Amino acid sequence: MSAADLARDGSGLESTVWRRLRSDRLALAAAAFLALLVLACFVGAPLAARVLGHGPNEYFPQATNYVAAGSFSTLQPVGPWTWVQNQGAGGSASRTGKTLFLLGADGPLGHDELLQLLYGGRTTLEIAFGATLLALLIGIVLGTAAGFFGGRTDLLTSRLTELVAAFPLLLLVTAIGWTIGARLNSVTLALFPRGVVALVVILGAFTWPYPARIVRSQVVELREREFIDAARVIGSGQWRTIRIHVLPYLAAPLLVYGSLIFAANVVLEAALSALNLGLQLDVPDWGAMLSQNWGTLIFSAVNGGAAPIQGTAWTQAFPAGAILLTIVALGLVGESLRQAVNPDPEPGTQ
Amino acid sequence: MSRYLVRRLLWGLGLLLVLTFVTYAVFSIIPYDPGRILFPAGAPVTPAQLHAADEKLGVDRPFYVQYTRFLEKLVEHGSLGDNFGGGTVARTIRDTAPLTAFLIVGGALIMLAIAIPLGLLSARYPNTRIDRAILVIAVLGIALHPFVVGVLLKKASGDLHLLPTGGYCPMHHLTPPKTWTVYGAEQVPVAKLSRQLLEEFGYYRSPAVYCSGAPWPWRWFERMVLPWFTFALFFLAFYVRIIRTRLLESYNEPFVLTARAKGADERRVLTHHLLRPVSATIVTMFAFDVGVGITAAMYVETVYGLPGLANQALTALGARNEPGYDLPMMTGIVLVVATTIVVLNILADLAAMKLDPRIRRA
Repeated sequence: MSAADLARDGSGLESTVWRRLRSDRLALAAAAFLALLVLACFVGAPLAARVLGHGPNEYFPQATNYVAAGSFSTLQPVGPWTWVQNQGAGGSASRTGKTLFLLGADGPLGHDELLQLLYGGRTTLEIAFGATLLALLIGIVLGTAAGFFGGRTDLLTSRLTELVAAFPLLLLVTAIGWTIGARLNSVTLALFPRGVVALVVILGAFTWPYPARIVRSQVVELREREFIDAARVIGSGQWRTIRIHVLPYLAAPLLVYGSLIFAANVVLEAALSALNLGLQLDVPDWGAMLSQNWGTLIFSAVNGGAAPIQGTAWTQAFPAGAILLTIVALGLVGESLRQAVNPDPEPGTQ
Repeated sequence: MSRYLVRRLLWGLGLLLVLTFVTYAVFSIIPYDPGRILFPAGAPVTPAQLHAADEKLGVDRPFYVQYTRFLEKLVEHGSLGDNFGGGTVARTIRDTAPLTAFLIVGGALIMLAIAIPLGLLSARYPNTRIDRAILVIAVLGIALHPFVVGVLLKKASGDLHLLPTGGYCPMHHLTPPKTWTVYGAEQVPVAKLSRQLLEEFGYYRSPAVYCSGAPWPWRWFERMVLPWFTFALFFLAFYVRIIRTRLLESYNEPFVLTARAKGADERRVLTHHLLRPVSATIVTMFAFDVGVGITAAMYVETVYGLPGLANQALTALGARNEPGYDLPMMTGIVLVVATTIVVLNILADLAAMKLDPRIRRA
């Protein structure tokens, strides 16, 4: 049967899901935004670097208010839409003329804010998405096992969950950062920037208790439902019951919590950057951009802008805005998907 | 019941042993020389001097020997030992933990005060515009990074001259001990130490300097308001969602249908029948979240310059300047945090059983 037949039939889950999704304009807009964002970060970033003629990590002393040696400089970055003398410290003599800093520079080093934002989005999305996926995977496996089999399995998994939840994440991350960090950082799978895989593993390995708990409580409730008993009565094996009858019910709650965990991962990743445990300096990411800049805005807020380190609102506003839009869009898409795939429609769902 | 309690407590004790052991094991594998802390930065140190320094700090032995020594001291004298940096661990924790506890408890209360009405509204009008708007508002709390929330709140409050934007005013005046154990070895009369060092550890922060004007409880309170809100916003989304989900699930439960059939109006159904299972969920989730709460507290304390336990953890980890790892301090913090989590988890499970008879039966 073709998809069109199913849709006419009106009974297929896919067609119902699609019909529900299509009617949700706001979520569609959010999804379009996310698609554009991914496109901009993964395809647009190298493209923009090519067009502008400089990379995200080249530094331009002239992109700050740096004055000739000897006099005091605050190294305040230039604002959006500034043409900067193209004499990077990379020292390539061939570069002449001026180059455009569309969103200004990012700080005392004078990186291009726009390129940092685009390349940074790439890293941040990879880390947050990968870590969330890993956490959900571990959470689903352990949570389902605990909830479905109960007894000793439940006891063991629950205690393990408690152990990991009680473990101070930062302590372990510090230790890893100094010992196997260098080795872990160089694992790139020939695809990701340095350190991304390491952060995915670390964050994923320590945020799974959340989904595990949600899945467990969901499965415990499901186990009591009649259709699970019915499946058992007609001879459905345990794995088949889990695969066909339990797992579809987990998608709905996990979609929203997944997007929340994604958001929390962005914040955590920024924490690691602030502690110098995250990515290296030459791998831009939103968290690092935010944490490297938050001090400047605070100084300006406290001293009314008269502090030696001058505040530049936009260097913080851009990464903060990027994180904000991404997470809100993701929340909307997650919520809409949750409604759409929920086998038990809530009141209000068409 | 008592068997259950004993089993949980024993498990909790095992958990504490595992966590402290890992703390020591981690210390032994990181490439870091604690003995250097006894010498001025950059000063030339001979290997013999370094060895002597290690001996002084007690880190020259294999880590399992150090660990057993730590356990002995803890059990026999109830002592957590001395910081590498000077001062005793117990005292540092006593001075910094209350602030973090205040922050987490106050932040959680504010969070619940916002999350419960939003969750109720969301569940009352599911999948409507109201529901959607509440989701977006709740997600904003995480999406606006604590750094940004902190900065915005500080800016707003600073511009309007509403509340102080940083620093802390302890409930009580902290006085330094008579003698100070420097680098885990010598007892130094406190008079010989520089005022700056003591201030770094939070002593002598007299109300006269840091806390202007306002009377006693208020000057503490007004410095906690912004941190509380920053903390609360971070957790808001998770709790709004869980409250909404629980309520919606429970709406069609037999006990709710029965109550409705007997003529209870929605208000009575909510207050007399639904609130109990929902609060059981919130209580267990809250205990579970304290670990994440400590991490969030690190942010909040950094943004507002609060000298709390989370801040102390960052200092002990050496994140403030160069790599460092203050082993006794870290162990102390891990012990305190993990004990809190274990005890809260047990209490929460007991409370949940009390609140929801279905959990009691399971």
